[in-house]
Amino acid sequence: MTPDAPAPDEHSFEALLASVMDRAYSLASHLTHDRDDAADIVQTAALQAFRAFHQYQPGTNFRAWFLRILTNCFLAQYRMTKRRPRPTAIEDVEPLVLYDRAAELGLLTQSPDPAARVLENLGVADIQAAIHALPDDFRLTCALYFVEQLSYQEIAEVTEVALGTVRSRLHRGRRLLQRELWTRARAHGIVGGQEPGESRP
Amino acid sequence: MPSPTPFDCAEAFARLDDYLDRELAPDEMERVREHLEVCAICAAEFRFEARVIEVLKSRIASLRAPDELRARVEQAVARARAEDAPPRSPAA
Repeated sequence: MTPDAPAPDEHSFEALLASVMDRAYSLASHLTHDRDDAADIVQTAALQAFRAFHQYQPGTNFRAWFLRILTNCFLAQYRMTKRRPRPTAIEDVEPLVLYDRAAELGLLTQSPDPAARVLENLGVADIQAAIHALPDDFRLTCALYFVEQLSYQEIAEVTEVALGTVRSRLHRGRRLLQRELWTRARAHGIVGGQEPGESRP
Repeated sequence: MPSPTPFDCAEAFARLDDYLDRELAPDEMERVREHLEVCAICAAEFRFEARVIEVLKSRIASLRAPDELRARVEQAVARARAEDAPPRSPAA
């Protein structure tokens, strides 16, 4: 091997990085809802991963390792500079938002698959926007769950928070997400009815 | 050993999310399942929630990283390699 020949580890890093680029960009896009911001986060994470590659354990899950770095980049850069924390009355979010609203409109008996009836008429952009409307910590947890389809334990490892916190954020985040989805479905005329939380006559 | 008592509606509902994600202990999964076999109302709610999760996972777009981004990242890594010492080998 000549002195200028690239070390195998360099190729290994590039190969591993290339294998997770689509997933990383997809996650970053759902987190930021902005293509340029997503690209910036992926690039920053790639450079951090390159410099920390000696800490990576060969044979372990490179995707999870890289997503942890990307997640930290999102939390450190995007949240701190682009957005302000938004107070949200999470405790007030009722469970079964979509089910209850669909029941009120009689949709449960009009379709053999009422959940799909509501959701399949929403565009992908609506679903992405609904995820993006979640508070940061809930959005991150829900994005890792819905986009990356990670388990609770995997989300805890990527986000470096306790398993119980992941469970709480995911369960409550899903309630918030249903509320956002119903609001969008109603705005698009896909369903009728009232906003979640509106007083009933 | 006798099988544990099935959950009632409130006990089953409190475990809705964990049940759908198969995050409950096996005995609790079984007790929820037994309740859903005899309670049509809870079964309908659980089925609806499971479909919401399923449909959302299938509908959320898996985006492809733009070629421009791939090239940009490759160039950035190449620059970093030139500026820094090459990355050390991964930990053994």
